[in-house]
Amino acid sequence: MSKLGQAKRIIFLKTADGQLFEVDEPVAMEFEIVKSFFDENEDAADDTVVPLPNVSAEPLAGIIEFCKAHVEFRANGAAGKDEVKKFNAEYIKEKSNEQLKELILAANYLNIKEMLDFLTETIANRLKNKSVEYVRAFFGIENDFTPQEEEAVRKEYEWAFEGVDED
Amino acid sequence: MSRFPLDVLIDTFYLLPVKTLLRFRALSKSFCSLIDGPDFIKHHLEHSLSTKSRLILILKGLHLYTVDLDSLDKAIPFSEYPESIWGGTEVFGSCNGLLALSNSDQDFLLFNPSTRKLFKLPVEIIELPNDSCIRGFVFSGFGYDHVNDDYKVVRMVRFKQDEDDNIGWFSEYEVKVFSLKTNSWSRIKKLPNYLRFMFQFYFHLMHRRGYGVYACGVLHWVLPRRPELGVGNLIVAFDLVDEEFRVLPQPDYVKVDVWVMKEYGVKESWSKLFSIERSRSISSFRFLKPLAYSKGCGDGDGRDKILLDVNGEKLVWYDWKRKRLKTVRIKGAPDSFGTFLCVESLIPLIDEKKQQRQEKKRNHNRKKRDDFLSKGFKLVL
Repeated sequence: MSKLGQAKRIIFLKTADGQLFEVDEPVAMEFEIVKSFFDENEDAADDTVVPLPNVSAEPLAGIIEFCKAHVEFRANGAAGKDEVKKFNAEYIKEKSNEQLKELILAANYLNIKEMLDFLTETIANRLKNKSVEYVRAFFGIENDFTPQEEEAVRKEYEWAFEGVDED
Repeated sequence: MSRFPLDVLIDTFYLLPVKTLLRFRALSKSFCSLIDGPDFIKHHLEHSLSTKSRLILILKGLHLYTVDLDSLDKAIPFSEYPESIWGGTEVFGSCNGLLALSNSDQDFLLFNPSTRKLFKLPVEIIELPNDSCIRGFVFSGFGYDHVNDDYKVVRMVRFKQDEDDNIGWFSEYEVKVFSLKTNSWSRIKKLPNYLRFMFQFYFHLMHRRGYGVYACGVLHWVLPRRPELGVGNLIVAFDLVDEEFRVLPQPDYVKVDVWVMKEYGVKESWSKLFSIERSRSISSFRFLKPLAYSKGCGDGDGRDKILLDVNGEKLVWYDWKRKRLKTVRIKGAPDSFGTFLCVESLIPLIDEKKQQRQEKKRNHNRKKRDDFLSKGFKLVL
């Protein structure tokens, strides 16, 4: 796609909080929304700034880090290998639940399938042994059961409430 | 629900174990109906099957045990035995997370070990064709009819003239099919001739070979060679959709090979996976049952392994490219066992919505009657 042959093309992205990011083209093209922006505006100038009104700087920086590493893995033929698993585990280890949710919202808006798959898997692993109360707080779910109704639903599979992690 | 995108949330829920989902029914009313919904149940199952996740191995020894297929570390006895499952209960099939169990030839059960729901099939008697004959070997099988979205149990009873009648010249067969959807049995009238040769005493009794092998909406049994009757090896197939028998084409094998049929029913699509080489671990096998491929099998990293049940006595991982065998040791496993692969699923055994509607209708009628009675009372007063 680069008009200058060998030269690396840089894509400019602007976040909701006004920060400008300079991203290598192959990494930016991982974002389906950026890719379709350029597909629809074929004659867009090289220095066009793509506005991302639903993403702020912090999650975008995290997403760029992830996609950059994965573009390199694919280029090196390392996709699916232990190296990738190790990177993913390191990447997510220090992220709080709040950060994780921000990443999901951003990755969903930017439409990055590979990263979304990884993030949903991470959430599923974090939540699978958690209590109902914990998960309600996590997703902001309002409990619309009456106490009697909730009691009845819990009673149907009482054993599924055993062995749950501390919140 | 929340500002969390709903489609991402549902995608996340497809990844959760059944026990977690049963707990998350208590999140809210809409989550409860989401998890109970047939679409969710179907996609959750499809996800588990396509990613080979949440698979369990069922071992049938003196008791029933579950083993996590990913770790294959320890055998855990079924924790909450429903009353009708005990040491004598046999497993004769596994499909979409449901196990088919039998306590006798007329006492069949379906059990979902992940939801611990049990369904007892109505008793269907075995009708003797005449007073002089006796009941012979009983074949059974269980599977899914994908066209009618129905689960079916098949029971085939062979009748004998007397105890010594093992040839089967004159034997008759009774084949009956149970449909979970209609909760009823029906008799299959059109039976092929070869069915009467479908029994060789030790062959079917040993290693549970009398239980149908389910694949692609069809149950299969092996009809062993009967040279004295001029019958060769046959794979007898019973299609659960149109409820008819047919013979499945076989590859042209010469020795003991493991073949895979890539396209169902197409003879040319059989391809040889490997031949069994003589080796210390499976040098004297009488029975070999392939159970599962290793995860990531076929993605080119050269670790293509298959889990084999050898003689119902041990499990081995066989790497057919490097021709290496590794015996799997499972803590707490019985010495001899039958093996069944089962996926975790939410598949219900009764239509709870239908039951609720019936319950509602009954309550409604009762209310009408009560209203009527109270009106009557008022009149008297």
